[in-house]
Amino acid sequence: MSKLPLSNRWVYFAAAILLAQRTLLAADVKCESLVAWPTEIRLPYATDHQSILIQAICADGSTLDVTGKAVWSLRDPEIVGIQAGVVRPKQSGETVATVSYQGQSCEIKISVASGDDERPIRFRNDVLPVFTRVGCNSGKCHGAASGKDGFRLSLYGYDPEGDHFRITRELSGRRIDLADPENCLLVNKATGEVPHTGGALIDRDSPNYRKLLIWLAQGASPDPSEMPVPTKIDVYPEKAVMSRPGQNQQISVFASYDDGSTRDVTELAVFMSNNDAAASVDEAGLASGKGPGTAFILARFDQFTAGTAVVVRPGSDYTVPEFVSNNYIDTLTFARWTDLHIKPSEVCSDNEFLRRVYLDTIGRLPTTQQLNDFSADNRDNKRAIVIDELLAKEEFLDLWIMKLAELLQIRRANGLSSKGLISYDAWLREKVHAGVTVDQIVRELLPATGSTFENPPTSYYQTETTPQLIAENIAQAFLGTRIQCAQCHNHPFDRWTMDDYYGFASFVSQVGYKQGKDPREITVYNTGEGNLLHPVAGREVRPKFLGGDAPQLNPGEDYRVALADWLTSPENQGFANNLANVLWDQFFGRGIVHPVDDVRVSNPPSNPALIDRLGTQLIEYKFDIRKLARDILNSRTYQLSSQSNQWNSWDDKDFSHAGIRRLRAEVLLDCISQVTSTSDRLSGLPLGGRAIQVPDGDANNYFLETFGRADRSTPCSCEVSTAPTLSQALHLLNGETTTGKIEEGGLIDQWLSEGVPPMQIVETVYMTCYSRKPTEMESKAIELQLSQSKEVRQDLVDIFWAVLNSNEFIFNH
Amino acid sequence: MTRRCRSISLTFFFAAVATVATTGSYAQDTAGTTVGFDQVQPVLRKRCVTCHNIDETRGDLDLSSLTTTLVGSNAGPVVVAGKPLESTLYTLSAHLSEPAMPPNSPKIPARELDLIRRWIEGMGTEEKPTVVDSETTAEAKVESRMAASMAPDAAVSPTGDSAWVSIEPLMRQTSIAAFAVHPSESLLAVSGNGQIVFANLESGDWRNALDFPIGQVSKLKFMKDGNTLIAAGGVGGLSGTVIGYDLTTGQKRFQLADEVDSILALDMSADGKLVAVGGPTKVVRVYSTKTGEPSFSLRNHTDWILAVSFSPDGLLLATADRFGGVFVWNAANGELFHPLQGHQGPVRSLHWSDSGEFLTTSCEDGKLRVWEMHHGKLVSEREAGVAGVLSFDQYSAGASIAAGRNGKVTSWSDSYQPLGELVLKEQVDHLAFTSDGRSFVLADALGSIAVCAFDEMKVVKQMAMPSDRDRLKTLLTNLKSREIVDVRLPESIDLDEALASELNELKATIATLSNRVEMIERQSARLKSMQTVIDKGRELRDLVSSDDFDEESRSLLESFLSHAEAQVKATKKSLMSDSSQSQRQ
Repeated sequence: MSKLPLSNRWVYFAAAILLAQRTLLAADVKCESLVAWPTEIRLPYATDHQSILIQAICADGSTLDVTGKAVWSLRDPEIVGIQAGVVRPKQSGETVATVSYQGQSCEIKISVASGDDERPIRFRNDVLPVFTRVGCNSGKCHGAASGKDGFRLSLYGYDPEGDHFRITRELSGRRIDLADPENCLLVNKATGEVPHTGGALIDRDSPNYRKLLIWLAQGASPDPSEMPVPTKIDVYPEKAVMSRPGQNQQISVFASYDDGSTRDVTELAVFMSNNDAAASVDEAGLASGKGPGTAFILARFDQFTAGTAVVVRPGSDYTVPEFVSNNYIDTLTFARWTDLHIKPSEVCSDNEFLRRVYLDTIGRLPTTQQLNDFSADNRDNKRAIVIDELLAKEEFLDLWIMKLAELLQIRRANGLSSKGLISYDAWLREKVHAGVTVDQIVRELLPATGSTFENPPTSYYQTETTPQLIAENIAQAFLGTRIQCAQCHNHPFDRWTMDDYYGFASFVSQVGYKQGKDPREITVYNTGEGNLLHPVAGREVRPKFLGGDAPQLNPGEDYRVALADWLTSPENQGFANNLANVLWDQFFGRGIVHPVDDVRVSNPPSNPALIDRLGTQLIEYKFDIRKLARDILNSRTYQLSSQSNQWNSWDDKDFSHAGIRRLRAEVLLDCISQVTSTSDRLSGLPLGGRAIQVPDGDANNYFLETFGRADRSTPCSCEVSTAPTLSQALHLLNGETTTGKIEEGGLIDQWLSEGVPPMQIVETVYMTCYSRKPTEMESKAIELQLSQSKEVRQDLVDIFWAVLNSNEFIFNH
Repeated sequence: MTRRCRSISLTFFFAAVATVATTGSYAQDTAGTTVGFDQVQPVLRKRCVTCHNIDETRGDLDLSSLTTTLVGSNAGPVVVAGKPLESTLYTLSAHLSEPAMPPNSPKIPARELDLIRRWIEGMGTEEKPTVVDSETTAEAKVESRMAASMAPDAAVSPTGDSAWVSIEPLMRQTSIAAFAVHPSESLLAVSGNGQIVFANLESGDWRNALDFPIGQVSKLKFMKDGNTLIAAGGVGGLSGTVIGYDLTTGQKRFQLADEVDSILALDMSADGKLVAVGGPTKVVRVYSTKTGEPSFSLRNHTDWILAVSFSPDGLLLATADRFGGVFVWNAANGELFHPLQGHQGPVRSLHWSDSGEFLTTSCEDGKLRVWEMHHGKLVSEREAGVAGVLSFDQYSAGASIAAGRNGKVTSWSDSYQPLGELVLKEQVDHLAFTSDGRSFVLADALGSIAVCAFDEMKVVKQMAMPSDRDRLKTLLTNLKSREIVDVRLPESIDLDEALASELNELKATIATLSNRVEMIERQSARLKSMQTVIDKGRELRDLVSSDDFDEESRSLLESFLSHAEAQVKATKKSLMSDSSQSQRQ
């Protein structure tokens, strides 16, 4: 009998212990603070609602969506009701909601303006988002330029008035029937009641259906002109850090209108993730962590796209590793790694470093002598010394000039003669070597006037001659921004509207051309008149900086001067960030914004703090590219090994291990020539000139074309391709460049005639091509082969050939 | 409410009538066992016929009628009587074999698949061959059509005399799809809600209506004889048919055409023998009113057909599309007569001169063009002054009117000299002269109708179709009674899940702890019994001190006792540490 109470007592005891234990465990990832979005809400209509997100921020920096777990209380429960974080009005008044979770709490101010009014259902603000959300106006459906099956809508609803017209007026009597709204074509097609290529998209029981129907039943009127229109959207939470895959975070979207009001438009927005492997998002805006990494969750509503970053940690026990920062770059990359629970790779070996830094800065391989000297050097700062030596070389500027020439599209095209091309190239080369910085070059280039022969930078206006194309090229080359989409419709994944596009293009709308005396010569001048017309609105567009203000300009003034001044001004961080990113990409094979010329709301930088810091630093250095390069190359981040570990193997955008990247075409050709001791005859250069110095982007060269050199027909970074192709492999295997150059250079014969032992020749080949000695295994295998060989010379040639064909040679690592 | 049911549920009424003669033998679904083609056809119509029809026979398959369905595709029959699993019509729709149909769409609902399956199964139980001779079918089809068209329609004409019904008020005014003015009387016909609605233009009174059996009326035209009205209608995106009415009785004279979308263009030749129709299918089909069957189809157009018109002598047929394509054909055989090139937008109307020598086209590029028919040449081109001509009419004397997108109406003399203009607020969709040519009637995009004087170019009478706002209120109340916004509970609230996992954890810990409790209890029991043994031993030792036992036994006992005590001590210690461990936990 006495057993039972005893055992019960034990259970209570156990429970007590257990609870104590749980509190203890929770303390490890204890919620440190509680954040609410938004912190203040106003509900102007009785039919409105507003969702509130509650996020707990834990000690380890991770976050939890605790909207549903937190305890809610209202100071005055008569004003609103709250269910699962959604606030609905009951009557006019003000109150405060208090949310608490694990001892933390926060407050939200709530005011209800009117308890009775219904929010009117408007076409642009309520109905059009339904079409966008279910996909009616996407690019492959009715949003296509020519519509679909005879019905066109503007892409993602950029033209609400036009869409209203096409639905209600274009074919009167066909698409809608206000006398029978439930059975009109628009509704029957959307619900799949009649055959519809797009299928059934709206359920007759859904809120989308009811919204559409109420709008029709109320007369499908055009929106009143005084209707508030959205001016921006905000996406919350500002950041989410999931401690492991499998966690969820609801995303909310709030729109601000031009009358100062705001509205929860979460269920009207369209969501997408830029990295489904890290986190996906469903149509209601619920983000789910899938695997380690960062996903940018984007929301689109009306003309706006905005997003928020969701970081997903791998979910295993993580301890912050020891990491000695060399400079500010390392501090910022390291902060990012600890946020993501990444551990960086080890620092690479001296030989690896030397090969990498030679290729990245001067496009050449270190010689055996240079490798040996470096190994023998015992100074602590020997890497910094080598970096300074390399950056001082002219070849560093040659690589940089090649990059700039790609951005300026220096090529023979559109009537640009050889003479024009050579003077254009010579102008750039001269300037850069003379220490003129990029901002100065741009300030000289963009407002250039005069003859293409006398003032070579005017050739920039010969490559393209329409204001639209010139403006697109300027935006892409100097701001890393692709505005092309906005020529015909508002950019679907960025903030650029047609107003922005034509406003920017207006800066180059007054460029005039005159034929010079020499038929090859063109004179570029400022006509001082004529403005672009907005293709939809038909009005004249005044010049407006991309993402900036519309400057005060006088008639006849050269708009391009204002453009160049704004572009290169220290206040324009976009210009500096873009240049810093281009440089970073040269050293890492990947931009912080990647690709470098696709800066876009929906393609955010992997490390925003880093790109901003590099840009600021570049402005501080007065655009001296060498100084920034020195910082980057001296960072520990740059000097990490390409060997990944279990803590960073999944990282492909945060630079926690060095990237393995194929040498670009020009560098590869120069390296092959270097190690085979041969020279090339390249277009526009004396014998022995380097491929990186070829002035004409359009010059014919089979090797360079096959290996993906930019022909500079656009300023796109995609022109430089390092993607493998079959012809590349065949060319290296069978083509003249490898076999031919080995014979032409005659190095093997020379060494044999000098009496160098075969194994030492092998070692030299390894050192010049791989910057390392053969491993023991390699040596043994080769030695065995050579000892049995009857054709030692041929075998050595074959080994050389095999080395040139190997990935270790054609890649930088 | 009844109206709403009608437009959808009656959609296939005529298809059913047309095929009942051939399928009647197995169309006995009273017990729910056998399914007739009449039940399957609506399914095929909705799911398949958009791609498998007479114009667009993907895979050479036409599923628009029983005959063509039984003929099958370029890969052979699609229906094997009695064997649904061998019939590709069923297996592809049921996603049992590839390619799944309809393409890129979810599987059609099980109920519809079931109908197809049961229909095919039922075919095998018939003793008669199920493949009906195609000629017989065609004839039977025509007969049934004619029968349907000739017989008085009991549903709309209970007296047998007249098919006229009262006007069903609209829920609210809406743009008017079809609009026609009588050539000799003061009579206006417009599309109503599933009806053709008539008004007296002189008095402005709304008179009566004729019911249209399928969907909505999309096109109306009074014939020159003054006694015939042709009406096209159907469910947009699904069906289109044409009915010819006798205006004296309101009875149907004929019904023809079985299109897969609304008919947007309609005309009948003056002799009443041919009817031309066109619409979003981009095909113009010319039907014989005698057989109800298509005489020929014209496929040169690249966009939706917006207008068709027979010349007054009936020799030529002009057709126009939304891309600006206009063609003139030999109406007898469909041979191309003239292509009329140069239109830069949708061509909305075609108007023949009385002699048939000239054709006037009105185009949304804002222009009126006159073409002569001997060589198909453009003889004049002028701005209509209305920014996108939607409607144009010419009185036989030659004066004309045009109206368009910007709400302007312009009037022109017989030599196309501009006379005057009238500016309205809304886009004008329809426009037609009254019988005396002194006035004209127009309808705007909101459904307002106005009678205007031609000379003064001003509105003399406003008309609006009868409406019943109560129905609208009911609809809105119904819609609003449901929540406009469904807010999903954030999924982060996995409270149940969290509770369940917490409970499981608790249970597991309790199990561990009670195991430990049991063990401790067992050990203390053992401790107790050992203590008893020790006590007994002590008693024994006291006894042996009386020298009755030898030294050996005595030392044995001593060592046993010390061993037992050590044991007890150890057990006690372990128990103590156990419990302190538990406490720590």
